[in-house]
Amino acid sequence: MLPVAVERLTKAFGATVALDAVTLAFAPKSFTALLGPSGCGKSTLLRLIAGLERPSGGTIRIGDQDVTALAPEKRDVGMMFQSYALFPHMSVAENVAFPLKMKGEARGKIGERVAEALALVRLEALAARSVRALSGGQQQRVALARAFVARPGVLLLDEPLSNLDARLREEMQVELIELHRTLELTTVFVTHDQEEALSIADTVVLMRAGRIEQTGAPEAIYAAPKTPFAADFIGAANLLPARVRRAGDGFVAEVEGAVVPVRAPQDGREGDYALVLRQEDIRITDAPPPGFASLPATVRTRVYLGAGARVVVSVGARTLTLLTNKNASAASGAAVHVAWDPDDARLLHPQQD
Amino acid sequence: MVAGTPTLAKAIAAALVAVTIVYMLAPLLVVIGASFSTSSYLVFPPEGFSLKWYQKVLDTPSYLRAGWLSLRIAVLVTLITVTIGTAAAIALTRFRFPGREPLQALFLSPLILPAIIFGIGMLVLFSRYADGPSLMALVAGHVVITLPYVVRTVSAVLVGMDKATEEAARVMGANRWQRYWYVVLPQALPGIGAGAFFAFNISFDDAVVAIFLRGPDTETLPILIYTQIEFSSDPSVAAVSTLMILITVGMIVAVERFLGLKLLTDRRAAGRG
Ligand SMILES: Nc1ncnc2c1ncn2[C@@H]1O[C@H](COP(=O)(O)OP(=O)(O)O)[C@@H](O)[C@H]1O
Ligand SMILES: [Mg+2]
Repeated sequence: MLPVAVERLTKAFGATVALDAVTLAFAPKSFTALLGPSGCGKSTLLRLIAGLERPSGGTIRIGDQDVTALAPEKRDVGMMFQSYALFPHMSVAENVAFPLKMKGEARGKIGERVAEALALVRLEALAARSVRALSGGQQQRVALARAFVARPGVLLLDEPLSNLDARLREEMQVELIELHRTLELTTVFVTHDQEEALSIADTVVLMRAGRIEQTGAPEAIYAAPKTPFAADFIGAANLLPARVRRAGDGFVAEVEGAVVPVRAPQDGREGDYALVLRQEDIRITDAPPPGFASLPATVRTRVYLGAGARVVVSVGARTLTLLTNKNASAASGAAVHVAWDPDDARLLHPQQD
Repeated sequence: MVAGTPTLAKAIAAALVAVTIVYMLAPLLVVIGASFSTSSYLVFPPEGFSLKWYQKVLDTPSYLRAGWLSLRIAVLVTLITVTIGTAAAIALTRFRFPGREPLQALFLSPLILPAIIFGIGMLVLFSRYADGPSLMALVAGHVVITLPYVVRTVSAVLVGMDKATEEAARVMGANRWQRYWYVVLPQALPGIGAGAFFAFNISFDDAVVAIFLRGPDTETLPILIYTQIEFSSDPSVAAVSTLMILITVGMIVAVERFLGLKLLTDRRAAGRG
C-alpha cells in the first residue's frame, strides 16, 4: 500500500512515442483505472512502473524510493498480465506460491499465505490442479491471486477482465472491488472499457495518445469532461459543432443552421465550440418546455433496450444518439424535435485529432 | 467422376502409407527374423528357431566391449550435447547479439553437411593435435553431429513459449538464474527430452564418424557389426542388431510415455491461450 508517483515519464519505441512526459500520482490504497483507447500507452505505463520497460525519460517512485533504475525483481510490485502468463508446468498452488518462494519465505508461511489467497479468489478446491486444466475464468483468478499473494506495495492489473465473457466480467468486477477493500493495496488497473473504469475505480485516469487527457473521480469526470475526447470516450456523448455568440445578456449558438440558447462558455468568449450532449439528456418532443433548446430532427432507427430505447436521429448533416424511456414513440422516418435543457449541455473547445 | 475423386485419392494415399510402412519395416523384420535362425549364415526367412546367436553375442567379449563403449559414448554425448545445445538454444532465441544469425547457421550446419566431412576433419584434427582416435575424440565427433538436433528441438519450444511467463517471474522477484531454473527450463523440457532422444540414438548407431575415428580401443558397436558383416555372415550380427533395435524402441516408448503426452497437452494449452 505504497504511494506511486511518476514524473515526466516518457517512453519511445523508435519513432513511436508511447508515453509522453506523463506526471501522475497514485495515493496509497487508491484504486485507479487507466482508461483509454487501444494503443494510447496504458500497458506501457504499467510496464514502466513494474520495471519491464526502461524509460526514455522521467522518474518513477514507489513509496519513498526512486525506482527508475531498479530491476523489476527488486521492486515491490505485483502484476497481472493480460495473457495471465501462468506457469503451465505448475499447479494452481505452485503458481500462487511462486512470489513467496522467490522472497525466501518459510514453507509453513507460504502454505498459509497461498491457502488464504486461494480462499479470497474462491479456488481452494482447485489448489492441486494443473493450471492447464482450468477454465479461462479460473485461470484469471489464479493470475490475480498470484499477483496479490505477496502483498506488494503496488498491484498492477493489465486488462484483467478483458478475456472474460460479459457475465463473468460483471461478477469479477464486484470481486475486484471487494478484494481491494479487504487488502487495501494501492491498485492500478488498465482497461479500455469506460463502464468498467467508472464502476470499479475510485480514480479514473483517461489517456490519449501517450498523454493524460483528464484525471478525476468517476462522477467528476463523467459529469464534467474537460475535452470533447473525454466527453465522447467516457459518456459516449454527442458532439455538435457550434458557433457561439452573445445575444442580449446571454449566449446563443448556431447549430446545424438553427439558433439555440446556451449557457455562457467558461471563458466567456464567442467562437467555435463543440456542444456536448449526453444521450440521456436529450428528449424527443413536439412541445419543448420553455427555456429548452430544440432542433428539428428525423428518426432513423430505434433500438429496443428493454427498459427504454436508443434512438438515432438526423439533425441536419449530423446524427445524434439518445436514450428515451420505453413509452416514447418514435417511428422510423418520423419528423420530430429533439430538445434539451441548456444546463445539461456543455461547451468545450474543439480538439485536433 | 467428381464424387469418385476423393475416394480414389484416399485409396492412393492409403496405398502409399502401406508401401511406406512395408518398406520401412521389411529390413527390420528380415534382421529380427534372421537372428532367431538355426542356420549358421544369414538367411531369410529364418530356418527353425533358436536363441543360440544371442547366447553367442553374450559370450563374445568383442561384442560386449563394443556395446559397452557405444553405450558410454552415447550417454556422454547425450549429456554434453543437451547441456551445450540447451544453452545455445537459449542464447540464440533469447539474446540479441552481433553475429547471432551466422552462429545460428553454424549450429545447424552439421544437419545439412554430410557427416563424413566431420569424420575426416575430426580424424585430421585428432591425429595432428592429440594421440589419434580416442573415446573422447569419438564423443567430440558425436557432439558435433548431434548438436543441431538439440538446438533445433529446444529452440522450437523456446520460441513457442509465452515470453510473459519470464516477465511475470521477474516481477515476482526471480533473478536471471531462478527464471531459467524455475520457468524456462521446465517449459523447455519436452524439447530437451526430444533432443536427448535424437542425440542418444544418432550417437548410438553412428557408423560414419566412428569409422574415421576407429582404433583398437574405439571400435563401437555399429563399426563392429559392419566389419562382422564384411568378414563373416554369422547370424550373431543379426542378434546384436535386434538388441540395438530393442533399445531404440524402448526409448521411443519411454519418450512417448513421458514427453510425448506432455508435448501434446502443452500444445493444447498454447492453442487455447
Ligand atoms: N515493444 C514495443 N515495440 C514497439 N512499439 C511498441 C511496443 N510496445 C508498445 N508499443 C507501441 O506503443 C504504443 C502504446 O502501446 P501500449 O502501451 O501497449 O498501448 P495500450 O496498452 O494502451 O493499448 C502503441 O503505439 C504500440 O504500438
Ligand atoms: Mg495494453
